[in-house]
Amino acid sequence: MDINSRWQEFKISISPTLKELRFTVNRIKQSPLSVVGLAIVIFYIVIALLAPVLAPPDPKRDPYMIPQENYTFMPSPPSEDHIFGTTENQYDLWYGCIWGTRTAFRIGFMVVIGSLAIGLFIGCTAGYYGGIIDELMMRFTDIIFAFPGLVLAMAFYMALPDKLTILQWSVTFTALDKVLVALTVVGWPSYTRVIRGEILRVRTEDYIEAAKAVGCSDFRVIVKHILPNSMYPIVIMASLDIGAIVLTAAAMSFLGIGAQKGYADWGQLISLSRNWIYGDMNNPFKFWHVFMIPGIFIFIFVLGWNLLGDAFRDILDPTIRRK
Amino acid sequence: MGLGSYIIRRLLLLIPTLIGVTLLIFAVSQMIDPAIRAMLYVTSDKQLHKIDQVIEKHGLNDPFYIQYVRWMNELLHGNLGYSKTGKGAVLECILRRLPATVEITLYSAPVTILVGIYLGVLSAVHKDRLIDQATRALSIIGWSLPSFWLGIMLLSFAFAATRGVVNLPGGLFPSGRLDLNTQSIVNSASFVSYTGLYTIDGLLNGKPWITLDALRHLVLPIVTLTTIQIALIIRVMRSSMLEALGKGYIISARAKGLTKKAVINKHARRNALIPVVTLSGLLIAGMITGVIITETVFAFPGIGRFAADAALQLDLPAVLGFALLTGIVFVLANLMVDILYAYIDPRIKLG
Amino acid sequence: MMNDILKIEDLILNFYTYEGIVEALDGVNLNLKEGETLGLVGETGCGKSVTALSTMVLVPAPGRIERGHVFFGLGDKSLDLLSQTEPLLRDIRGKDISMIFQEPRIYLNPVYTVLDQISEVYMQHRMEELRQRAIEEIENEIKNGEAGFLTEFEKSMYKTMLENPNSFLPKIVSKIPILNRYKRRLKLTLRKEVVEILKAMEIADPERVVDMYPHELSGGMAQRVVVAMALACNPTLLIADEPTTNLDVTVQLQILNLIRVLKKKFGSSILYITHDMGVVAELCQRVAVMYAGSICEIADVTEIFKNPLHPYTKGLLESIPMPGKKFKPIDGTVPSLINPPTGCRFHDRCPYAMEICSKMKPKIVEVKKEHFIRCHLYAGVRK
Repeated sequence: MDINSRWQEFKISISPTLKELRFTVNRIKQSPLSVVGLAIVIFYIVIALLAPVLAPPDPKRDPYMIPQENYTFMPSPPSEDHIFGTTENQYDLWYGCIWGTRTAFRIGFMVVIGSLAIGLFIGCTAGYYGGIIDELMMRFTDIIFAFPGLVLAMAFYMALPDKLTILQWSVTFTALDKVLVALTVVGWPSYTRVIRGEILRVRTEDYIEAAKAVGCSDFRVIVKHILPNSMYPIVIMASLDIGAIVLTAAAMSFLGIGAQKGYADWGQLISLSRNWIYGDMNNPFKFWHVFMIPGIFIFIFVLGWNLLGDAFRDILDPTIRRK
Repeated sequence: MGLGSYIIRRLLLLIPTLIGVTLLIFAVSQMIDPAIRAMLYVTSDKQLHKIDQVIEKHGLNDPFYIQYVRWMNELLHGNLGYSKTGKGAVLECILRRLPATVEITLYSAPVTILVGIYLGVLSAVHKDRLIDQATRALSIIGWSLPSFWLGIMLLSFAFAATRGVVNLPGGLFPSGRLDLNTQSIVNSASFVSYTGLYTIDGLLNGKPWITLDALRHLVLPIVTLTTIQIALIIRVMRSSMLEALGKGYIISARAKGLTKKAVINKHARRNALIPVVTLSGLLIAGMITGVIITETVFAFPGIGRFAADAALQLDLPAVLGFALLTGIVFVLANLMVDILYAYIDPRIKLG
Repeated sequence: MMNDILKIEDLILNFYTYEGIVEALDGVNLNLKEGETLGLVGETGCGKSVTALSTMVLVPAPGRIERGHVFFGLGDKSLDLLSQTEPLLRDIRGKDISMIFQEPRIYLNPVYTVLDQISEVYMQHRMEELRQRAIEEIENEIKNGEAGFLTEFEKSMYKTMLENPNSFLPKIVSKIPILNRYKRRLKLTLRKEVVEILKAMEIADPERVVDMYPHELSGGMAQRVVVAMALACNPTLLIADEPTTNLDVTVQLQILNLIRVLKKKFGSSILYITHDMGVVAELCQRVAVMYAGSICEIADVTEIFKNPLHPYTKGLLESIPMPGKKFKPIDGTVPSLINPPTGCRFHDRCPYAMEICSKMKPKIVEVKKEHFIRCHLYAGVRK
C-alpha cells in the first residue's frame, strides 16, 4: 500500500477521537470560567518555561536557591532593583516567585504521576482480578485513606530518613523530596479507588469479553481496552488534585517542614512573612508585599487548575455530554 | 435486619480497620532510628538522657511483631509516649488541648453547613443564572485559597481596619484564644473550667465578658474555615438538589396544587439533604483533625497546633500519637456517618 | 347534549433545547365530554404526556406553550386555563383536575410515608372542611361533658385557623411542646380519611399500608396509592398517563377494573392516555388518535375499531400483533420534531399520500356524526 492510502486509513481511524476532541474544545470555549482556567494554567506554564530568562540565576549556585543581596532582617519594599521587593533576610521576591512556579509544577506533576502510577498498579490489579486480592488491596487503601492528609504527610515526612540505601543504590532525600514522597503516599488511595471503580464498570462490557475471546493477554486487555475508556474521571481527578497538592505542600512549607529556608517555594516565602503581618507602628500594610505576592501566586495557580478541573468535570461527564 | 444489628455488624468490622490503622502507624515509626523511637517509651525528662538504656530495656532492636505487641500493650494502657514539645505524656498533652479545637469546630461547622445548604439550594433552583454562576465562582475561589494565606490576610486586614476604632491590642479580631487579662482570669483559681470551652464556661461562671472575648477571637478562624470549606457543601447540595428536582415526584407534588416554594422546600430538599448530612459528618470530623494550619496561624492552643509544633521539633511520639488519634477519630466518624445515613434514608435496606 | 368538560383548541407548544426547537405540539384539538372516558392513543413521543401536562399548565422548562386554549368547565363557567393566574391554577390542581402517572414509585416521594403524601392533598384543598369538623367534634365533646381543660383552647385554635389561615398564632403555638397537642385531633382525622380512601382503592389492610414508604409497596399498591391521591378531592377530570404500562399484566387488569369501579363511584370524567389499543377497547367511550403533535382522528370507540378512516389509525390497528394475522408494522419511523415534516406530518409514511399532503396541513373535518378526522383524503367530505 502506498503512503497516501495509509494516511487515509490513519485519518479514518482517528476521526472519532478527533471529533471528541473538537467537541471538548468547543465546550471549553463555551464556558467562560473554563477559558479563564485554561488561560491561567497556560500563563504559569509560560512563566515556568521562561524562568531562566525572567529571573537569571547565578550559574555557580543551585538556581532554586533565592539570591540575597545582603542579610538585613527587615524586608524591603518593591523598588527598581527588586520588582516585588524582598522578604526577611533580603530574599528577592521576584526571583522566588518566578522560580517558585517551577517548583510548584514539579511538586504537582511528580506527586500526581507518582500517585497515578501506584494507583494504576493497585487499582488495575484489584479491579481486574477481584476476589481476595481486591479485598486485601482495598482494605489497605482504606486504612491509608482513614487518615487526614496533612497529618499523615507530616508523619511520613518525619519518618523518612535523610538517606536510604537499598542494596547498592543509595538515595539522598532533600527536604523537598521528602515532601514529594509524603504527598505521594497520601495521595494514591484516591486514584486507586477511582481507577478500580472504573475497571469494575468497564470489565463487564462486551468488548472486553470479545478481546479476551480473541486471545488478548490480560495486560493488553487492560492497557488497550479498559484504560482508554476509563480515562476521563482520572483526568478530572488529576487536574483538581494538582491544586490540592500544591496547597498542601505550601502548607507544609509554611509550617516549616517543607522546603528549606531560602528555597524558591511559594509556601516557604509566605512562612518568611509571619513576622511582618502587622506592619510597623505607623503603617500596618508596610510589609504587605511580603505575604500578598507569593500568596497571590499560589492562589491564582490553584484557582486555574480548579477551574480547569471543574470544567473538565462538567464537560467530560458522560451523562451530560451530547453527541 | 434492623438498625441495631446493622450497627453491631459495623462495629465488629471496625476492629480490623482499627488494627490496620495502628499497624500502619507502627510501620511508619519503624522506619526511624531506634534512638528516636525510644521516645515512645519514655515517661519523663530524666529518661531522655539515658536513651541507650531505654533502647535496651524495651528491646527496640527486637523483631517487628514482638515490638508491635509491646507497643499495642502500651497503647491500650493509654501510654503514647512522652512528648518533648509538650513536656508531658502525649495523651495528656493532646487531651489538654482538645477543648480549643472543639471550640473552633463547634462554631465553624454549623456556619459552614447551614450557609452552604442555603446557597446550594439557591444555586440549584436558579440554575445557570447569575446567582448560580456567582455562587459557584465564589466557592471555587474560596476552595483555591491557601488557608494560611487567607488567615494572614484576614488578620492583617482586621488589624488595620479596627485598630483605630477600638482601643484593644490587636484590633477587634486578634489572634490567640483570649486576651492576656481574660486569660489570667481563666487561669486563676476562681474560674471553674466545666467544659474547657471558654464561650460556655464564661457564661457558666457568670463572667459573660469572657464569653465575648472568646467569641471575638473566634470570628476570624470561623471565617477562614467557612470560606474554604463551604465549597464542598455547596457543590454536593447543588448537585443533589438538581437531581431531586428532576424526579417524578416533583411533578406529582405540583399536580397536587402545591406552590413551587413548598415543592422545593418540602419535597426536593428533604431528598437532597441526605448526601449532605453525611458529608457534614465527615466535614466535622475533618475539622477536628485538620485545623492544623488555622490553629497555627491564629495561635490557638489546640491539638492541631500542638501537632504542628511537634512536627517542627521532630517530636516523634507526639506526631505519631496525633496521627493515631486522628486516624481513629476518622474511622469512627465514617462509621457514624454510615449509620446516620441508614437511619435517615428509609430506602436503605439494612440486610 | 352533554357539556364539554375539557376543550383543547389549537394548542401549540415548543421545547427550546440545546439541539434546536422541538415542535412538540402542532395544533392539538380535542374535547372531553362530561362523564365520559376519552382514550388518547399514539406512539411514544407523539406528545400525549405533554398534552396532559399542558392541561394542568405544568409543562416543565424548556417547554413553552405558544398559542391555544384549554377550556375547562368549572361549575357552569368555562375558563381558559392558559390565561389564569397561578393561585387559581393551584386551587384547581389536585382538586378539580388530577393526574396519575406511569411509574408510580418514581412519582411518589421516597422519604415520606403514604399517609404524609395523601394527607398533603387534603391539607392543600380541604383544610377548611376538616377544621370545621374538628370544631364540631369539640363542641360535641363539650356538650357531652367529655371536655378536658385544654379543649376550649383547642377550639379557639381551630377557629382562628378557620378564620385566618395565615395567622401567626397557631404557627407559634405549634412550636410549644404541650400546647401543640391540639394538632393531634386534626392528625387523627386526616389519618381516618386516608385509611378510608385507601379502602376505596381496594387495598387490603390500609391501616398498615398508611405508614409504609413507597419502596415498600408493590407496583400495584403504589399505583393504587397514586390513584388515591388523585381522587382524594373528588376531581371533575382525572388524567391518567399510561398508569398500567409498567405493571404486570395481572396487576394491570386489577387497576383497570379499579378505575372502572371508581369512575362509577366518584363520577369523574377521564382522559386516558395509552398506547395499548386493547385497554382502549376495554375502558373508553371515545378515542382520539395522536401522531407527531396533533390529533388525527377522534371517534367513538366502536366506530374507530370498525371503521378507521385515517391512514395512521388504520396502520395502528393493523400493527397490533394477533395470532393468525400477519404482522404488519407501519413503514418508517416517528419523525424528529426539531425539523418536522412539512404539511401533514404523516405524509412520508402514509401509503395514500398525495401531493398536497406534503404542502399543506389538513383541516379537521367531521366526516360522520361525532367522527372527526384530519386528513386530505376526506377534505371534501362533509356530513
